Amino acid sequence: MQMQNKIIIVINGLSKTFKSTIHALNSVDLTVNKGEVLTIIGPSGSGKSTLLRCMNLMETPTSGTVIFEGQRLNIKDKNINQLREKMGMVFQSFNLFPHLSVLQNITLSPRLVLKMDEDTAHKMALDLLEKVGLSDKVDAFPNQLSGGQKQRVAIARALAMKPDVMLFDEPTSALDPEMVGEVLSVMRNLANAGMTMVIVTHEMAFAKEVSDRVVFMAEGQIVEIDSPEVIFIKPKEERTKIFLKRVNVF
Amino acid sequence: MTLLLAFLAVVLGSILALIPALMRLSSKKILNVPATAYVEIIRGTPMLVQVLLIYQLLNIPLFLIGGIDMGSFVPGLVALLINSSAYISEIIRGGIQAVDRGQTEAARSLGMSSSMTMRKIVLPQAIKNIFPALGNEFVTIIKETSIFMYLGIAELMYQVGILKANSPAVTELYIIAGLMYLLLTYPLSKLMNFVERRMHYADAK
Repeated sequence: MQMQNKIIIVINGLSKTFKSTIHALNSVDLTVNKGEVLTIIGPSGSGKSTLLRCMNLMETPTSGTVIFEGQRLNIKDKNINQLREKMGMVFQSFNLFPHLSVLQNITLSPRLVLKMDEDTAHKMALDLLEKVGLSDKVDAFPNQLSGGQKQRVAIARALAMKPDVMLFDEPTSALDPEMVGEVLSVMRNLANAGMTMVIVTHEMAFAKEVSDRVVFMAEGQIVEIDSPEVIFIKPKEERTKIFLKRVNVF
Repeated sequence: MTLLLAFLAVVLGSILALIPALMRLSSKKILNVPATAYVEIIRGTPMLVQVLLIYQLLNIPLFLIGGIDMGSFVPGLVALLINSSAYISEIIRGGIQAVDRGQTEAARSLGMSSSMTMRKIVLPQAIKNIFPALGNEFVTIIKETSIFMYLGIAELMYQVGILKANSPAVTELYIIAGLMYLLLTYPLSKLMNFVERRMHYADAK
């Protein structure tokens, strides 16, 4: 993949404290380049998800700055909704809207927020469903879908807003093992199509395969950022080695 | 008559109840505190006291519309509305809080504003949680209505007239009675709040 080397997200000195005692993030600096796939790995409780959720202000940082496409995201930024349109998010627990059909799940926000007309939204939703291999589920409701199907709809729903970056928060962690593959394959296609992606994951093989860069986090800090070859084969940091030995993949 | 009163009280009360419910869910103190006070006062004082107070304050002369004496119907309905809206607002608040936080997060991550999220995502799902409890409230209101119908509207006004003759401060008397009940019920509802919070904590982990 060609690296345009254009920065899309800049994180500076980001800290997040929960209930004034737990330091989930401790002064993290990170940049995300346009078109790259960045995966974040690390033991649970290392702050991976918190870091991701700070990128679109799902969590409000205690201190530090997040700059997205040149605009600083502040707590009082009135444009936060507009900026979020450009940052798709996929959750561990899918979070499809259970009272809406698959089609409505996808078209709701484009119609409300982007003021897209019904026909255009409908066509786009069908295109997206075809991309994620669920053309036959247009009129289904979320409770009629398997976990893997739900997550693929959730990806289509996020893509419907035509985001510049996609944030994935452990997208396969809540899935049965036989459904992980279908979701990863949709994500792989997305990566190959040049989408900027930030992925928090426990799927080490997938991270090694699709990433341009891998971030290893522990105890609220970034321990090491490097290419997947370096991180997975000859990591520089002792903590990375110990973690990878423990997850026992390579 | 009782049913009509109860029905109007539940339907209109549900709509009115949205206001204190949403105010209590707000993180802004200016909205939160008055709504909490309203709900606590109404829940903490007996219906009877509220009805008597409303009759006292809304002194509507007898006139008929469709065979119903508006002089008693209007204050009765107002009293019921005030009472039911406070209870229903708590039902609505509970229903809204029962909707998974992930729903709000998903909607907001798609660029929807908080009011859009409330209208299109949270409330439609909350209604499912609210409905069974609303039925309960309807039954309760029917019972309450019959109590104050039994009192008799004309008789009530007559009684107030007698009381008035003995004491010049009728309104104040009712308020004092209400406050004394509140003194008893407020600590109880605080205790309930505490238990509710502990239950939430247990749910979260």
